[in-house]
Amino acid sequence: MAIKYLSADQLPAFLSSLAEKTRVVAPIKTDGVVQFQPWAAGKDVELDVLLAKQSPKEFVFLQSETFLKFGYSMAPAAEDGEGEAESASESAIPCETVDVEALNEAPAQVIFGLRPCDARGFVQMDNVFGGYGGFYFDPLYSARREATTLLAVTCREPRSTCFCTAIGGCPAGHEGVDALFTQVKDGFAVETFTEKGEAATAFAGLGDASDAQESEAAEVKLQATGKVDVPFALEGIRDNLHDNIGGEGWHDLCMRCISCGTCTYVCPNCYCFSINDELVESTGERYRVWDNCFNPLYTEETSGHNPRAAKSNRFRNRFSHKFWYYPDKYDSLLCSGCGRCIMHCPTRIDIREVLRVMGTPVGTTPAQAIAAPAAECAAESTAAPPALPVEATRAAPASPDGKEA
Amino acid sequence: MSRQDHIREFAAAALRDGRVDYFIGWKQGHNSSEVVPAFVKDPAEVEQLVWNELCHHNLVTFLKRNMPDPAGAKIGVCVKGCDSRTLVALLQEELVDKDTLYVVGVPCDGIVDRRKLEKESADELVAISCSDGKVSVTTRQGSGKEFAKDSVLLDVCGRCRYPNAVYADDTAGPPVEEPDRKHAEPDWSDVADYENLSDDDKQALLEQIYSTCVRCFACINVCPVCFCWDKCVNRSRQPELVSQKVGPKENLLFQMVHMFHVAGRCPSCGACDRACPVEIPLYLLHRKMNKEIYDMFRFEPGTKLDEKPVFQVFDLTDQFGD
Repeated sequence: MAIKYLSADQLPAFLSSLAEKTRVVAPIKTDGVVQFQPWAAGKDVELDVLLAKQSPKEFVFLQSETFLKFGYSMAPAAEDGEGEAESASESAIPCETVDVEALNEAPAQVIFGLRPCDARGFVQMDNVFGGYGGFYFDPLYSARREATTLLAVTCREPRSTCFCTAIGGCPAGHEGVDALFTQVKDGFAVETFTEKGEAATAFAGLGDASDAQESEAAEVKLQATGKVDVPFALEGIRDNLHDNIGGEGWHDLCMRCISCGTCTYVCPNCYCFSINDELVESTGERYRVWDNCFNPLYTEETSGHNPRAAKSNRFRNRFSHKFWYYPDKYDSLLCSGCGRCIMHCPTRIDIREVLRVMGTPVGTTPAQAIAAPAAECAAESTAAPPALPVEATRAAPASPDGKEA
Repeated sequence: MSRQDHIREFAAAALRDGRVDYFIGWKQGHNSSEVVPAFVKDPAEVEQLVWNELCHHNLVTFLKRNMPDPAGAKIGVCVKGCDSRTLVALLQEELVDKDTLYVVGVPCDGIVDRRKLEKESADELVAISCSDGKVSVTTRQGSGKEFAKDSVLLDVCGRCRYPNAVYADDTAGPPVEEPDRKHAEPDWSDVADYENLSDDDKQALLEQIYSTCVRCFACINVCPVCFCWDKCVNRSRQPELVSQKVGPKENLLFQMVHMFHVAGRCPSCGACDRACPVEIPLYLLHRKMNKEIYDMFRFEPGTKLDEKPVFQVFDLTDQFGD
C-alpha cells in the first residue's frame, strides 16, 4: 500500500471535505480541556496534548441512548355483557394497548485524531456487541460502529502512563484503524488499511509521500514505540489473577478507591450499561446508560442481597474482568494500555501496580522492572495487526518441580 | 523538625502503641508530580508518608460510612484546616465515632493546583517540587518551568480562613499564622460574577458547565460529608427521582441535589472540584450556598464541635433572607 502525504495546512480542508458528507468528530480543546467533539470548520484539532480526557467510545456506544418509545392508550370500552354485577364491573376495567416504536439511528461519522489504543478499544467492544463466539449481537452498537470510520493518529510522544506495548499494542498500531496519520515534517504520512479508510482519504489534497517522508514516518513510529514503558509482564497474569482471587492484596490496593466510576467512563473498553424506563403520564421511553462495576448498586439484587457488597470485591472485578473473565470468553484482552484510568482516577489508582501485585504468582514479590521488548511493531506497519491471543496471558506450564524452565 | 517528620513520628507511635489499626496520610504517587492517599499499617512503613504542597486529598473521605476496612477500625488520619472542618461536620452529626479516631492536624500554607500547572504545558508533568515560594515543574520531554507559588495555588486556598485544623489530637509542628476572623468577613468575591448574572444567564451558565458531566459520581463519593453512599437519591430507581439519563438539565438537577444535601455541612473544601475527571467547576455552587448560609445565619460549617449543622436547629429569631 502506497503511503500518502497530507500537508498540515491542508488538514482543515480535508476535514471540511469529510464534513460535507458525514459528521466529523475530533479532539478539540475547550477551556483547557481536550475532549472529542463534533468538528466544524474553524475549530482547531488538538493533537499535541496526548489523550483527550475520554476516549471517543461515547460516539459509538452512547452514554445515554433511547432505543424504545412507548405509549399506553385505552381501547374502546368493551360492550356490556349480560352477566351479573360482579362480572359487569370486571368488564368495565379498561383495556389498555401499548404502542412501541424502536429507535436505532446510525448516521455515518468519521472519528479523526483518536489514538491506536482508542481504536483497539473499539475492536475489543466489537467482540461484546458484535456477537463474537455466538454470544449477544447488539443492533444499536453494531449499526453505529459499521457507520463509523476511524482515522487514527500515531502517538509521537507517549506518556509515562502509557503501556500499550506491554499488552500487544503500539503507538502506531492499526488494529481497528481504517487509516493511520503519522505526523512528519509539516504534515502527515497517511496509510490506509481498509476500504473505509480508502474512501475517507480519497481527497485531492493527498499526494504520494516522498521516500524521505516515508522513512521519517517509520523513524517516528520506531522512536515512539521505544518510549512506551513495559510496566508488567503479561504472561501468567490470567492464571495469577485466578489464584489470587482471595488475596489480601485486594484490600490493600483498594483502600484509596472511592468507588466512583471515573476509570470505567474514561476507559476505551469498559462497556457496562444499565437499562431504565421513564414514564410520564401515558408515554415513556426506554434507554440505556453507562453503568460501572464500582457502583454499589451494580450487582445489587432485588432481594437486597449484593454479591459484591464490599469495595474490594468490586475493585477486584474490574481488573479480573479485563485480564481474566473477558479473555476467557473473547480470546483477547479488555485493555489497550491508554493509561487514562491512571491519569484521571481521583486517587491515581494505578492499574500497572495492581497487575504487578495481583498478577504475580501467589507468594512472590512483584518484579520491579521488566525488560522492554524490541520496538518492532512500528517498523512493519503494513503487516497484520499484532496478534494477542489469550495464550499470552496464560503462563507456560510449570515444570513438575515448580521451578522455572 | 519538619511537619513531615512530625507526621511520621505521630504515625509510628500510634501504630506501635496500638492506638490505631492503620494511619492515613499522603505519599508520592507514580511520580513526584503526584501525591496519593497512603494507608500505613506497619510502623516500619511510615517513611513513605510525605507532606508537601501537593497533598490536596481530603482524607476525611476515608472515614465516612462504608470506607473503614474492616468496619469499626481504629484509624489515624492527617487533616489540613479545610479537611478538619469536614471532620467536625461529621462529628457534629455523630456520623463518625470520635473514639475510633486519632487526628493529626497539619498546619497548611496553601496547596498547589496541579491542573493549573498542567494547562501551562502540552507535555505531561513528571515532577513538581516547591521551595522558597517557587514551584518548579519538569515535563516528560525534559523541559522545566518555574511559577510563583501564589499564582498556582488552589482557588480555595487564596481565601482560607482556617489554615490550622479546628479539631485535632496532635499537631504536626507549630501552627501557621491565623487570619483575623473576628473582624474580617469571609471573602466571597469568587461568586460575585455568578451572582451578577440574570436568572436566565445563570440557568444557561449552569447547564453549560454541567453539560460535560459523565455521572461518574466522583464528586459525590469523594465528598467527605456526602455519606448516603449506596442509598443516594441520585441513583434511586424506585422511585426514580433523578433521571439516570445524561443531559444538561438532568445533570444540573443531579448537582443541585448534591449541593442541597451537603448545605450546612460543606465547608467548600473543594475535594469534589479536584476529583471531577472532566474538570467541571463544581466548587461554584457549593461556595454560593455557603455564602447564602453565612449571610442568613452567620454560620460557617464545621468550625465548632459543640454546634449543630444549621439545618438541624430551629431558632425563632432566624432571619430568612429578604
